[in-house]
Amino acid sequence: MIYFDSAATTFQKPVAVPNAVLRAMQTCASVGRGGHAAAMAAAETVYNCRLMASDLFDAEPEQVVFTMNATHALNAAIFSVLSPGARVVVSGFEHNAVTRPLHALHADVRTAGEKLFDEEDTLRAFARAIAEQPDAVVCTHVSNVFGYILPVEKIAAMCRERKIPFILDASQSAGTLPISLRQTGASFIAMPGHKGLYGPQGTGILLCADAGRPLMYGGTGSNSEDQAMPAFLPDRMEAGTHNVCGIAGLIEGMRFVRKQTAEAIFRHERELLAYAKRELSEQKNVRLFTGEGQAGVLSFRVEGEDCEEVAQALAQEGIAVRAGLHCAPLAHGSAGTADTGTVRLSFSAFNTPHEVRRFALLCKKLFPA
Amino acid sequence: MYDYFFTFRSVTAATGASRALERAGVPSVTVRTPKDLRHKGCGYSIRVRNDLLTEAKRALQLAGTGYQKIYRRTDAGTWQEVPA
Repeated sequence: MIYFDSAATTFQKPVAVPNAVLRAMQTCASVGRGGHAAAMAAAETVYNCRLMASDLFDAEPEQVVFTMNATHALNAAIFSVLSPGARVVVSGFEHNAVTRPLHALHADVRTAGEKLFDEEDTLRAFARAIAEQPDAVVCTHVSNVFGYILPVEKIAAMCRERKIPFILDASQSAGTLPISLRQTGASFIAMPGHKGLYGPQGTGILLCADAGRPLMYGGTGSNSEDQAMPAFLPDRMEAGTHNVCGIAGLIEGMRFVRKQTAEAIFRHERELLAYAKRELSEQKNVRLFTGEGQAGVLSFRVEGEDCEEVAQALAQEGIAVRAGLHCAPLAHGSAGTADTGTVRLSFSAFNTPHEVRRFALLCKKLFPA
Repeated sequence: MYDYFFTFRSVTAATGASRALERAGVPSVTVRTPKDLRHKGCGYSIRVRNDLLTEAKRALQLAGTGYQKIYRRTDAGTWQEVPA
């Protein structure tokens, strides 16, 4: 199979990842639930992962909170910062992992910046919206549909200046773009473990500047006589048994990223993107959604073809892509593709130019102009 | 003998402290906090040898690893708080 669906989950993982999962399953029990060897092995494993994440994302180990995925992390962040009816500014490219929690909170949501690949327009729109002193700003780093890299450092600076809580969704950037909790001054940064960090599904990270409001309540292995959740991180945000096996795999995924370097992985994905763009642009019946400041994600449509059927035809030939709205109707609304959706290619460190070439040849055969 | 106990609020804090001691070359053992030393319930402690208390305190302070309290187990088996 040629796998071009890494914006959903990286399917090919470094071999050390499944090995670590298996090893943890054989050696680790629960973190903070005992002083025996298996409990302490779990504690060491989870701490190692906190240390690795704190190093990669410029945070303290205690500021690294483990979640099930980025959606879980974003929910924890949003429900920490916002109360029902709060006024929130979001970009025009947010995922449902952001917009649905805001909807549940009956938040007064203002969308800023709807033009694809137009950083200046995005910044102007955010400046206008932030001037109205919202209760928080939530912004994706990279659009999961179009790969548009939003100018989040500058948006974060605007928030810092006005002391507005900023939540960064790093779902598509963790592992390829620089992310610093300290430098952005973000209240929270949410990311999955199973995408650009090459960890197992069921892992995610929430970087917390300060202790938030718990999304779940329960055992933490600390302050057990107190019925209130501990006030300190990470315990406050981590009720219940950790996904120790997944976290063990995530260490190896992050080790892979650190060894390859995020910069090199990003460069590799951009080269594949450029190659795919060149190849697909030869097809006159293909519309590409592309521009300056694009990560390794490429949306396209084939004239007269249903996106789902295009993806299905490719799947039958062994090529994995994603079609439809990609859980991001807001982004499709911004780009004018809400009615049709798009077909999305998204690359990882394991893809090759040869795979892109095979994909392009197949497109020419399956969807002739 | 490992008779000095540094108490911590969480296993994360204790593990971080144990790494700091390891880096400083101070041997230590991470254990569950004995019942009599608990503040609000379960927690973790680090035990260090009698002759390494000063080195351990210095290493933890240098690493910015906050412990809660330090206790010494007396020969009679009782606990005595030691100035932090």
